[in-house]
Amino acid sequence: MRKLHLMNKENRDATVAITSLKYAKPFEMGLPNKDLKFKRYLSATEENLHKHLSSLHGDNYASQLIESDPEIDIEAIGKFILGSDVVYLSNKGELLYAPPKTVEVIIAPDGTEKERRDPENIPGNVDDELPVRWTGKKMPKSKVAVRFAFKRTIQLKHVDGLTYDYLFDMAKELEDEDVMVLVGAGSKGKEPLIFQANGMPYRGFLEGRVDGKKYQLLLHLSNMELKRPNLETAK
Amino acid sequence: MAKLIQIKFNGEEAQFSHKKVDRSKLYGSRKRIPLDPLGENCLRCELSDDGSTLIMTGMTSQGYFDNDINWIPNKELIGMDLSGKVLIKIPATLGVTQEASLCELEMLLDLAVDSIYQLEPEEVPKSIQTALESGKTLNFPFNYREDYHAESAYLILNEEGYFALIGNPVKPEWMELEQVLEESFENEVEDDNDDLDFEMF
Repeated sequence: MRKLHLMNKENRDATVAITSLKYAKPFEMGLPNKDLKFKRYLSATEENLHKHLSSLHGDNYASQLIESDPEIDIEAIGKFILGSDVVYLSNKGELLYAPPKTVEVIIAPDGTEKERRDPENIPGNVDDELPVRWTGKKMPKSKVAVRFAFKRTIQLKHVDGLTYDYLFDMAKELEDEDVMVLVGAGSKGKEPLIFQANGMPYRGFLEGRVDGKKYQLLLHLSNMELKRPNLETAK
Repeated sequence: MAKLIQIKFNGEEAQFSHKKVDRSKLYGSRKRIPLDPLGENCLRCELSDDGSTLIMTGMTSQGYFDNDINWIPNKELIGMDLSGKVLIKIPATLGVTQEASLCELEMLLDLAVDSIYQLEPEEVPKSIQTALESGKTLNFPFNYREDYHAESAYLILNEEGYFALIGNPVKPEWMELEQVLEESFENEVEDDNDDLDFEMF
């Protein structure tokens, strides 16, 4: 059970359960009454790759492809790959025996490299000592729905009677006012929500729905506004 | 030019050209690159489990095989529902007028968005524009290419213009006091990509 540490507008905090709402694909590809397995296999060796073949055959490359099939190694191809480990080679192709240094590259909207920096490890912050805070910034549902693209939705669930009341009251308030409220992490609730170490930061909007004594409290996550790219920068 | 998104609402037709938008075009992106001891870019490869094969980019393929290890070409595969019933292909919707209907806001909020298109209106009747300007959204089926499942599209209008949000609906559960959550050890961590920090506020 994944958890979220939440604080309401009265600064009362509680830890509740969360589940990610996922779409279940209604079909699969296959053949009727046949058990098929999806497998990964070797389709070339290093000697069969374009880089090697083009340097080996030079101007005769095209005719060699037609006449002698140098891109196929009949002895090697077709081997199923059941598992593998990641390894790194140096730029000259030598195996590295120690983890490589990593650099973080920032790419501008126009695709150009903007900056290189040492990567920073950012921990998740939703089940942290500091709770995710109700910021009080409420917006009409109709405005939020057309301003942000919601990539994920997390449902908040109670874990006992007390948290049922806690979440039900939040859902009811939001439904009665027909609004969504922005929630945030950090000591002032201004930071975006990060659900796993080095994960994507999201802005979270809580939406409440109530039906009698039943409730749905949904945390809609967005990392993108619905707006047009700046043509100058995205060119 | 790609075929247009065409919808019909209350007997009137609207047409839009479309362009996919993604986060990196708005905010940029970031990626982590491994460097070798000389500061040059490393090559990321795989070593097969038995240690016999160094696998580089372009050396593998994947596909479906039957129990006798016969490869089944993709073109022979067909769509089946979860009970094994063969499904009929749904044609592509681009360039074909789709019936649109007004939808509740909750339907839009329950959409797991897969892709977003920025739309340029080629022809939009007043009735559709007025409905969208009043904050309503229109729902219609969307299928980029012929396959076994059509997604849901939601047409919206905001200060930046027209957008179509494409995706599939998710179903939140109604929670009651008596419901007891069971401990699950399922790993719910999702594969977040590594884009630039959120800068939209």
